[in-house]
Amino acid sequence: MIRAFIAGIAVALVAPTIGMFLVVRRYSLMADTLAHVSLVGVAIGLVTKIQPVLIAIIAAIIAAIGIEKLRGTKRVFGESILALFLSGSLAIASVIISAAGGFNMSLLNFLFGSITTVTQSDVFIIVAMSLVVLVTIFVFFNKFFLVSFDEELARTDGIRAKFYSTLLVVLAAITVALSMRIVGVLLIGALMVIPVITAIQFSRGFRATILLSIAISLMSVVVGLFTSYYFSLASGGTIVVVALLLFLLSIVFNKKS
Amino acid sequence: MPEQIIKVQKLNFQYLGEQVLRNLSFSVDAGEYLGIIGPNGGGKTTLVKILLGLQKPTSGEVVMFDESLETFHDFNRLGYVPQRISHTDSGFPATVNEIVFSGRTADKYPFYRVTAEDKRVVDEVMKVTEISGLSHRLIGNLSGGERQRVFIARALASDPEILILDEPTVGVDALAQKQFYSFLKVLNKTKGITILFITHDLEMIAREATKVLCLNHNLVCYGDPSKALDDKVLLDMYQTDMKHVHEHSHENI
Amino acid sequence: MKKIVSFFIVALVLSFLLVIFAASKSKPVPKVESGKIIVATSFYPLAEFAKRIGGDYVDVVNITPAGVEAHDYEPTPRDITSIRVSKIFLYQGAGFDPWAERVAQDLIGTDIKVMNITNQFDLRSIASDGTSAKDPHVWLDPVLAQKEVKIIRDALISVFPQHSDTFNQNADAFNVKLAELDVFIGKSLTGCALSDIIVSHQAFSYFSSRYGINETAISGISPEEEPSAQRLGEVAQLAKEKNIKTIFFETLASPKLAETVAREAGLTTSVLNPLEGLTLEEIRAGKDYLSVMTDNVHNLQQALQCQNK
Repeated sequence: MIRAFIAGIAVALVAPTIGMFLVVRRYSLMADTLAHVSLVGVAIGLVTKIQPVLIAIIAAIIAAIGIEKLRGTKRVFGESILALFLSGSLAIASVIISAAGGFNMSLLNFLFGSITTVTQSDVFIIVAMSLVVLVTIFVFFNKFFLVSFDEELARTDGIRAKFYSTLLVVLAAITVALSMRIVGVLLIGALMVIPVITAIQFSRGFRATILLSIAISLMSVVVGLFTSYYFSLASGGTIVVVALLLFLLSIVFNKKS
Repeated sequence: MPEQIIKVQKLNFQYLGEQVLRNLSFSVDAGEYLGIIGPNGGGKTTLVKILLGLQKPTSGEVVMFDESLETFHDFNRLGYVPQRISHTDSGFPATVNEIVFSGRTADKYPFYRVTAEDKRVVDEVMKVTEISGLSHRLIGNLSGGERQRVFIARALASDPEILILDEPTVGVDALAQKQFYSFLKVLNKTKGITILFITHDLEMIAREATKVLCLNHNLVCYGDPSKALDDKVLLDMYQTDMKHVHEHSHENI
Repeated sequence: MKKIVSFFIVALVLSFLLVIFAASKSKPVPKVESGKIIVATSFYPLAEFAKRIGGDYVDVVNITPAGVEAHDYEPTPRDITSIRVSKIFLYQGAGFDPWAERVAQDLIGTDIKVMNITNQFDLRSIASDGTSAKDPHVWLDPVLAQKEVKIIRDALISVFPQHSDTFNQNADAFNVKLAELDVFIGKSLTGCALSDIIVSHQAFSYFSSRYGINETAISGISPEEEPSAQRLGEVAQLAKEKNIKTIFFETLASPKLAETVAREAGLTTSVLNPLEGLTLEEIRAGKDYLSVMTDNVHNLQQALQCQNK
C-alpha cells in the first residue's frame, strides 16, 4: 500500500500539470490517444522481440510529433486529429497482432497496469519520470504558458513556438507510455483532465489553476486509495470516481446565481 | 535627419504561386506614426508578418535597427498587437496580470525569476493602459475594449521601440476606439515609440498618422497622408470610389 | 479565495465521512487463527486443491472472485493485504494471471512462500508465426493435476511441517480421485464416432492430447483475441469436413464467438468449462473441480457421439 501511495502521489502531481497545457489546447483526449499509439509500439516490440516498453515510448513520441505537425497544417481540427490517431493506431495494432498470429497474453500487461500491483522498480521509474517532467515544465513554464495561449504571439516574442509545443506533447507522450503500464491508462488519462477542469471552475489564473488541480488530484488519489481499501474496490476506478465527485462539487460551488 | 529604424528594399513575397508583395521599398524613421492601408488580401498582414520574422520574404531585404532581419533576434524591441484580439479563446484560464507579464518574461532564459524592475515596468504599462484594476480578472471575462488594452500593455511590457498594430480596433465600440487613438498618440509623442498601424479607417489615418503607406500588392502610395491619399490612389487600390471606401471603413467600427 | 477554501473544507469533510463509512463497512482482512495458516491463491483450481490438501489446518483465500476471468482481474488493495498476511501464495504463471506475477515480484524478500505452478511443468509451446506463447492450462489434464497437487502439498509441508502427515494423507486421497477421474474420462471417450472438437479459446490442449482428441480453437491462447474472418471461414470449413455438429463455449467468456460460428455453419453450441473460475451459480449448485470435469465429459460424449454413456 505504501508503494501505491508513492506511485499515486507521483502521478497526481505530474498528470494535472501536463494535463493543464493539454486541456487548454483542446487536447483532452491526448492521453487515450497516446495510450493506443503505445499499443502499436508494444505490438511491434512483441513481434520483433525488442523491449516493448521502449518501442511504446518511441511510438508515442513519434505520434505526438505527428499530431503537432498535422495541427500546424490546419488541415484537420484538433480533436479530429486525436480521433484519427486513436482509431488509426488501434487498427494498426490489431492488424499487427493478427498478422503475427495472435495475441500474446503479455500484450495486455502493458495496457492495464494497476496501482495496487506497483513494484519497487515501478515506483523508481514513475518517481524519476515525474521529476523529469515536472522540472522541465518548471524550467520552461513561461514559454509553455505563452505558446499555449497564443502560438503566433509567442513567435513574435522570438520564442521557438514549434519547438516548445512539440516538447510539451513529447512530455505527455513519455508520461502516458510509462505510467499506463504501471498505474493503467484509465488513471493517467482521467487525472490529466478531470482535476484540471475542476480547477478551471474556480476562474483563477493559470498558475493558480495548476496548483488547484494538483491539490484536487492529490486529494482524489489519497481518498480514492483509502476508500478502495476499505470497500475492497478496484483502486484506479475508485480514484477516478472520487475525482468526478469533486468535479460535481465544484460545479455546485460555482453555480451562477 | 532622424534615424531610419526599418528599411525595406525590393521586397517580394510569393505564396502558392501568387505574388502577394511586389517590389516594395520604403523606410520608417524613429518616432514616426505610419498608417498602413489597403484592401483585404492586399498584403498588409503579410508585410507585418515579414517584419515580425514570422514569414521569410521570397526576395529583397529588410533591415531592422541596422541589422538584417535574417540575423535579427532582439524581438523585444518590437511590440505586436494582433488582429485576433476579439476572438481570443474566452475560456483560457489566465489573468490579465499573467498575460501582461508574458510579454516581458516569456523569452527569458530558463530559471529566470521576475525582478523588481519587471514588476515596476508591468505596473507602469498597466497604469498607462488603465487596466491596473483588472489585473486579477480572467482574460476571457473582459470586454473587447478592455481586452485590447491588455494586449497593448502586453506589447508595451518589453519596452519596445516599435509598436505594430494589426487592425486592433475591430470589434471595439466607437468610444473605446477614440480613447485608444488618443492613447496611441500619447505613446508616440511623449515616449517616442514608433507606430505601425494597419487599418481600414481612412479618416483615422488622415487625422493621426504622420505618414501613410497604401498597399495593394504594390506600393500604391507612400508619404504625407494629406498629399498621398488622393482619389486616384484610392480608386487604384479599392477599384471603387471614395464613397464605397467610407462605407467599408464604417463596417469595421 | 474564500470559495476555494470552503470547497476544500466541504470536500475534506465529505471525504472523511466516506472513508469512515467505508472503514465501518469493510470486510475484515482474513484473521490468522491459532494453529492455522492462510494460503492465498490466484484462481479457482489452485484454491480447490489447496483446500483439499490443507483441510482444517489451512484457510484458503482465493483472490479472483467468482464469475471473473483470472486473466482480466485487477486486485484491490484488500486483496494485496490478504496475500500479505498469508504464508503461501500460489499462482499459475506463464501469462495466465499477469497481476499475480506482478504481486509475486513484489513479495520477493518477504517470508511468504511464493509458488509459480507452471514453473514446475514442461509447458507446451503454442507456436503461432513469429510469436510463441506457453500454454498454462495444465490443470485440465487430471494426470498433470495430480502433479499440481503434489507441488502444493510440498509447499504446505515446507511451511507447516508439523502437519505433514495430514497433508500427505489428504493429497493422496485427492489424487486417488483424480486418478479415478482420469480412468473415467479415458473410458468415456473411447469408441466415439468423432474425435474433433471446436472450442472458443485454446484451453484444452493438454486434455485433448491425453485423450486423443483434436482441439481446434476459434481464437488463440487468450480469450480476448479477435479471430480474423478467414479464421472463422476455416473453422466452418473444418466443421463441415469432419462432420462436427457442436461448438463449445465457456461459462466465463462471452459466447458470442461460438454462437456466430455455430449460426454460420449450422451447428449447435454446448459448454466446455475450462475451470478458470466458477460462477456464483456454479458455487451455489455445489459444483467443484471433479463435478465440472464430469459435466465436461458428458457434454463431450454428446458432441463426439460416444458409445459408453
